[in-house]
Amino acid sequence: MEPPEKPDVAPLPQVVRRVLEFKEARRKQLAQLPPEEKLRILVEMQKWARAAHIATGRPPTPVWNLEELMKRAQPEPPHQV
Amino acid sequence: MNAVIRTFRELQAQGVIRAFALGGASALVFYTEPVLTYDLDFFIILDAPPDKPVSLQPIYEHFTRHGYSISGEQVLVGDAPVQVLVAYNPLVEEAVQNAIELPFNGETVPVLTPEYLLAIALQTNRHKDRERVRLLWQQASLDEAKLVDILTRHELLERWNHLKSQM
Repeated sequence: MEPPEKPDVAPLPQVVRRVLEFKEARRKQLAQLPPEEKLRILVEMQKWARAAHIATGRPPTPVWNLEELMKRAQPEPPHQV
Repeated sequence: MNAVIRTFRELQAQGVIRAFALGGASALVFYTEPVLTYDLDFFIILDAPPDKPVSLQPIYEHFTRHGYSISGEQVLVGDAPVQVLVAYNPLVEEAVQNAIELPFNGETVPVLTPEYLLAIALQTNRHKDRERVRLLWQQASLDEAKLVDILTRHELLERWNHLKSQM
């Protein structure tokens, strides 16, 4: 069986290629962000997904509570003797 | 997340679990652009003899004592469900044993390495897993020698070469 052809963007107009290249570079930049910032973006994506689900009559999807997720643990108090 | 990590560490100190690490799509925030997900997947290795039936009850009870609610088989951290997954095959077990501590929010989190995340996604091989493989390949700093070693030992090299030829 022939392997599937690799996607080829060469025939696309230059303006579209520029946009695709920009998007690719942007995604690589996003990959370099600190994980805390990426988690914030992820929650923003969840908000968009939820809005899209509601707008199209589908059950709403969850959105994480970022504040809760970023909460630092408090060490347990020492046991009273 | 930090509070969850501390709770897992307590379970480790008590000898309930031997090791744990963040995996799945939520672990990608450490290596690639963020991807949409709704679960925090934690893989664990239980500290119990292999012939003993697997029970996550002590883990759920410990989280409950810390004020978390349990929904089905998930621990809820606010609205974020934490899925506790017992390492279900030799690849996942090895991945948890080789997890690395990465800084997060002023503390550290044990996270599967990108090579193991890629191998597990390749093994699971759903459409979204193949997308994660592609992201890791394009964006994460992978140790290729380590990756090939893992894929060879877990008989995933052929699948990897096939998928890579399409990227």
